[in-house]
Amino acid sequence: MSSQQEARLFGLGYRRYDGPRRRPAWAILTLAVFTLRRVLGLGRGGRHKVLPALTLVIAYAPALVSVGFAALLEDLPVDDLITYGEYMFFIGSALALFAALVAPEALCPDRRSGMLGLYLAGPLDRDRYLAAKGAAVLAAMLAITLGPLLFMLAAFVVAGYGPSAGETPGLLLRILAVGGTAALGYAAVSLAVASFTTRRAAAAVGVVLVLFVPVIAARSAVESAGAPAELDLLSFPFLVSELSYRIFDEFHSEGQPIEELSSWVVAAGLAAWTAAGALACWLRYRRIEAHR
Amino acid sequence: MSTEPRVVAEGVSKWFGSLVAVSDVSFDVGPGVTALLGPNGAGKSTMLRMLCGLARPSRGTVRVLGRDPRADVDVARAIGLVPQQESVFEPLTAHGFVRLAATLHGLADPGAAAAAALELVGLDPADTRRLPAYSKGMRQRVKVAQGLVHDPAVVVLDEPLTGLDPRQRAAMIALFQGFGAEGRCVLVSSHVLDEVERLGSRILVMSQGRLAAAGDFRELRALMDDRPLRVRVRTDRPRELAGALLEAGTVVGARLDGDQVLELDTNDARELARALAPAARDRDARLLEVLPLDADLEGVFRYLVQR
Repeated sequence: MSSQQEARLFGLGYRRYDGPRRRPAWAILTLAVFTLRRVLGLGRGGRHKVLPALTLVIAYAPALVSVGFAALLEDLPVDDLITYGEYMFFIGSALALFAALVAPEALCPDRRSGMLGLYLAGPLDRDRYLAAKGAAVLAAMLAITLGPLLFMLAAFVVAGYGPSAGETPGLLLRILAVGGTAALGYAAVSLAVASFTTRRAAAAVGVVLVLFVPVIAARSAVESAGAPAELDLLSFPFLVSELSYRIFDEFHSEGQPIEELSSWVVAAGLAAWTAAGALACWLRYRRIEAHR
Repeated sequence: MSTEPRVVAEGVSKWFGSLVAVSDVSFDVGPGVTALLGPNGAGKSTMLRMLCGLARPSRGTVRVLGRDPRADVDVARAIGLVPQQESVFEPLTAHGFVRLAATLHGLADPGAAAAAALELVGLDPADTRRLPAYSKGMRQRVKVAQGLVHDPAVVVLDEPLTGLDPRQRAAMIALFQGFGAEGRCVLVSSHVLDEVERLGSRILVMSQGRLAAAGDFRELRALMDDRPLRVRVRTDRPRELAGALLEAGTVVGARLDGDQVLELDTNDARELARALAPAARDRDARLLEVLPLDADLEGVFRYLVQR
């Protein structure tokens, strides 16, 4: 470094990026992971973790209690254990609460803070943005629709209460069907409601109202006023638990009007709720003007 | 460097119900810095939103790099948007926020790219404070960093100098000028006219939703022949000089301001430039200063939006 000829000046200005760029689909995954972490409170302060953690505890509690009893009381009759089919009924409130928590947290802050504008001015169009948000909410919902059932299956198999080796694949498929259907439905409905407001609290209240007001109204009308059983198709949480019973071949509601409906009608009702939710959300985002 | 238009608007209108925000606007913007000016409510923000693909024109077409920014994600990735809003986007650290932008844009090493972008705007990538704890000027620089992190070909800056101190403003202006000199298309919306003037001379002026002018503001001033150009002349014999110029018809008005200052209104600046020195010589007057008063950007802007 002694000669002047070795002296060099380096530019400190903008460095052009000449490296590789991932495909636009990468942005969907990035946003989905970022949103999932956000809704679960990961990487955020403690207060953001409380509600998701509490809801997860509520959702897993029946499974933990059931598995705990099975482990502690060796000669416990199988009939005393919680069944796969009735699990969705037991955690119905937790599902609704979680949906009311997750979807508004996924969608509302972006419109309120202006992040939506940054996303849409960059590598995401509206469809890709919604795909990322939908994937994040679906993944979060799967954690409580699928997780406890898989946990129960694994624990019961280990404890000797589970299905035989030959029956396990079939049961696993049923668990995936129930967990997947429920998660998809709750995600679509809650995202639809959240797409209509920029305020998380209003969206959360809206999700709860949309899920439970029809249940109360329809159930009252069917059970008390003798209204046709088809009215139960308006009760989304009721349809989820009803379909769960039927997929696991567990008929719970003997003498109830909904027995008149075939499983295909129940499944179609749930599919209609899911499709309507997804469509409403998609149409809403077609019309939203993003701000910067 | 190609001078091909990078941003083209053709007959663009945008209305919200009965409110017409942008009306039949056409322009094209090539490489370099171009300023988009206009008073509040002129339609600038709506125009920028359409250029970035955030809003769909009610009529007309917008093309960025020859493609529709709303329909084509690839072209949207070539746009770097620095938004106007002052609210904090996400409660992340500056590095986390810019890295998120880099990751979304698919850069191979988003962490390093984010650090480089933050250093470019004079911020510490290792700062662990979250954005809400930042000052307005720091947040502004974070926004600039996220808009530039992916090396965009078209940079859209909405009021990028807001909240910055004079030193930071100078640094930002130099940065944007550098981008323009590299051949990028830099479109700046700003209300700070003297700083826009330092950014470059090409302007688009919007007023009441319409395009009022486009081009070099000095050339635009020369086109305003229905409005006299005002020139201030300092001389030791102002009365004699004013008399001579009025008599010759070179100026259409003259006003004395004190003992030495003369303000002249002329419809033909070139003729005045030719005639001034001979007239002073003939009247034995010394010319101490000649200064056009409203040939700056502010004068042009005021005229365009008030006519």
